[in-house]
Amino acid sequence: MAIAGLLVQAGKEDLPGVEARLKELPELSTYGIHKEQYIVVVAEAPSGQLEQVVERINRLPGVLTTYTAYLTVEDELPGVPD
Amino acid sequence: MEITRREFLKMSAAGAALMAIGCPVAAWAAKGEGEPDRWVKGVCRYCGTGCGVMVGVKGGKVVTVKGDPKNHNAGFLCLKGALMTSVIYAKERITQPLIRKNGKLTPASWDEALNLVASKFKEAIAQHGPKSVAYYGSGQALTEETYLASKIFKAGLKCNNVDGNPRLCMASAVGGYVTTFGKDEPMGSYDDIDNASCFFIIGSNTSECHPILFRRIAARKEANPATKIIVVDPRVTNTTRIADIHISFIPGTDLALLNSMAYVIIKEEMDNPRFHGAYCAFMDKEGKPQTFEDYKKFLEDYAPEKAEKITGIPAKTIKEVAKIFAQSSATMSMWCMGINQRIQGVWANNLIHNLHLLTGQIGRPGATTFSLTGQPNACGGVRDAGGLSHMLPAGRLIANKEHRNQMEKLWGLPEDSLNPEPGLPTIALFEALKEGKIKAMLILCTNPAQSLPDVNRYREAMARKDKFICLIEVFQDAETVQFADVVLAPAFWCERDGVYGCSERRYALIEKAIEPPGQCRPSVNILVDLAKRMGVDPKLVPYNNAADIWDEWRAVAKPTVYNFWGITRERLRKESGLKWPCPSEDHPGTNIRYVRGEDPLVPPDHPTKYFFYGRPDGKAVIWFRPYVGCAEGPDSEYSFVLTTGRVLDQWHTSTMTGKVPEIQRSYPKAFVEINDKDAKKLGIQTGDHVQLETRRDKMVFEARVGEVCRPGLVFVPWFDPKLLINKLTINAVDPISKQPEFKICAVKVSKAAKA
Ligand code: SF4
Repeated sequence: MAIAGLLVQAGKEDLPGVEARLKELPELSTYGIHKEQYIVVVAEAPSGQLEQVVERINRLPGVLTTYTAYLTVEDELPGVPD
Repeated sequence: MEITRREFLKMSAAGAALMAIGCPVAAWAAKGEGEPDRWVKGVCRYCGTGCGVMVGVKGGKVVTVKGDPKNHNAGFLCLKGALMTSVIYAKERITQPLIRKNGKLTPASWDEALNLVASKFKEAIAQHGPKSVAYYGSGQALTEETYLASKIFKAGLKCNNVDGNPRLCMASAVGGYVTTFGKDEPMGSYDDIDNASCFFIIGSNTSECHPILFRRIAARKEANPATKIIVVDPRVTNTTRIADIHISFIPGTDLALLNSMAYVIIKEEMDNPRFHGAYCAFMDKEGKPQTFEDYKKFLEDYAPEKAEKITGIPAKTIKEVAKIFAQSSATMSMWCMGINQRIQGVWANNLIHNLHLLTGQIGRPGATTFSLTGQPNACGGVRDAGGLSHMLPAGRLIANKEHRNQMEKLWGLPEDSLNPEPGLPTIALFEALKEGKIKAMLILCTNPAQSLPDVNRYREAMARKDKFICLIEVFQDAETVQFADVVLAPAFWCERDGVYGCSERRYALIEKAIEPPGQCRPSVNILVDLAKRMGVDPKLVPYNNAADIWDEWRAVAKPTVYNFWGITRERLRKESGLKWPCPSEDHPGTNIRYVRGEDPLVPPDHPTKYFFYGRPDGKAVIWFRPYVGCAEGPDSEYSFVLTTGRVLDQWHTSTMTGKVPEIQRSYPKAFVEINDKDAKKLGIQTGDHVQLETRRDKMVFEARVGEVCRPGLVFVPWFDPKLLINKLTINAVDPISKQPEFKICAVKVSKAAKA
């Protein structure tokens, strides 16, 4: 599983609606609206499916774009101590 | 409270996102059992935005990458930047030297491989002279690698055939800055984004090609909704989503638009005579001095009503954007390949600069003329360190005796010993390979078998039996590997240390985080070893590591306007990048060049506020550059325009992004975008197979029908090695910059049968 810390950028007036829609997506946890522009989101998905999650977010009405601030695939690498 | 490691990782992810936007990070993001052993500072391997990264290492392996909150990107990364881990550990890594034997690349020892390369170069030089060998480098190589390779060839072998892939992407921007301001590189920085009240974005799909800068532009607009964004692009891209005005135009006619904007600005008295009267010279296209009145006469051909006929842009819109550009409190222009990859690329660059000089939209926070770079180190490495065939380090020119003599002194060479004849720029270089005049070529960190225009022609050249190609390449599936006689295995990205310099004159260090796999070696070590075996005087390459080269390069730049003496390795280790000029170790770096009080190279007692010291008279040039069309416009037979470019997550020839499953699934293969009206006429629907045929070759792509392209235009991304769109592009070059016109050629479009 990959875990990504994402920033979802939306217009000020769209933020509450976007946050509500993000909460409906099972692979996401949201961490509030910040700086009147961003919703902090953590996505968990098998790394091969993460892009679909990001695409799904990007397609939500009101979303300007999504940025990745953090991504780990630590437990998918061979030989890395757990 | 006990938390599981998974929960910890989730918290770290949220914490990093919060940190990226400057919010306090909750206590739960503090160090815990799931955290990497250490974080190592670096720079993203991909685009010219040059985002700072922190590489998380655990048990000697890279396990995560996050944005560096102290660098300009403030902790943000786009998806591809964050997904570097799987690239490092790709199964396609080349981990030992390979020699082609009986047509097959076979493992060899370093000694065997390097001796073979050295003997081939020595043989070519002995039999055919130094012009028969060449180095082809990259805007992705480290600064130290480019500086060193260029020195080995120019000083050690007396061969000026040293060029690189920035010739394909940045050469026109260099030509534009040098002809207008006397010196290369932008005067502004990314900080200008936070202060601009108008963005004039032309020939750049910033959203997909420089995502983190797009974020900053969008944030500026959000913070200050009165900010106007003008996007000039014949496609409706994601960048146009935030535009107040999107101008679509007939491809190749933007020179007429830019001249017409200048016409309107003067006609409506929105110019700034106090600025251009004091700080600008006027010149016609031959470089003869002219007056402001002459300029007005020259612009008569570009009244908006006349320009409308050329460009397809309504006169009303031209007037409106000229007004916004001139009257905003601070206008920032940004452009990229849509302007540079053109046979009139330098002229188009000049015309953008003209608008800033005419209106005085320059040299203030937010007011600047800013070229975006495609690769992470085209600026810092190839442009600054002199990795092109006509250049020596720090803006010096091979054709200039004084500059050669300076470098001879700095390099400890006898006076007048450097070869005074410039070498061959990229297209001419590969033409010479095709003609059998180049016998041996060293290629570092680039993939010309995919990235050159009209690439069949140059793949044929690279396939010549009598040539010798040595490739220093990370991945065995890069197209150019097929043509290499020897492949050397380099350390990749954070497996060695070195400097990248991004679009804003910022030099930042990639620190070594992990050991390279197998027998891989840092490219600087490979180059030094190879130079000695080729018989280059060991005194010319006295380096133990990249840091030694950096110190020499600092000294070489010190007497020039590139002075970054204060950017020591030590400071780079501590700080997340510094912007030159930076003449002393206590200097904080420069945000705005050419302005008294901002630029350390303008004396504090200089009599005027602005000083374009790159030019002999201290004045920037407003050029008369008439509209000239493209090399190969559409006609009755080839009736569409083909343009190429990037998509969001794939990068360049996808040798790296192609290793990332997330990205590969998003963009598995190239496609052709076609306007829905055109598609309807041709009976094409999304998913249908479409044949594109130019005068060079033909290929079949899957169609994406929509409104992205204007009627008459089709777009294909160039990342896909299985669908090499560069087989169709044209090799015509700009007469000044020698940069090819990737962005426009004529193409026939027809529906093809399903395979
Ligand atoms: S914007 Fe460019 S430099 Fe920044 S993370 Fe993305 S690819 Fe890397």
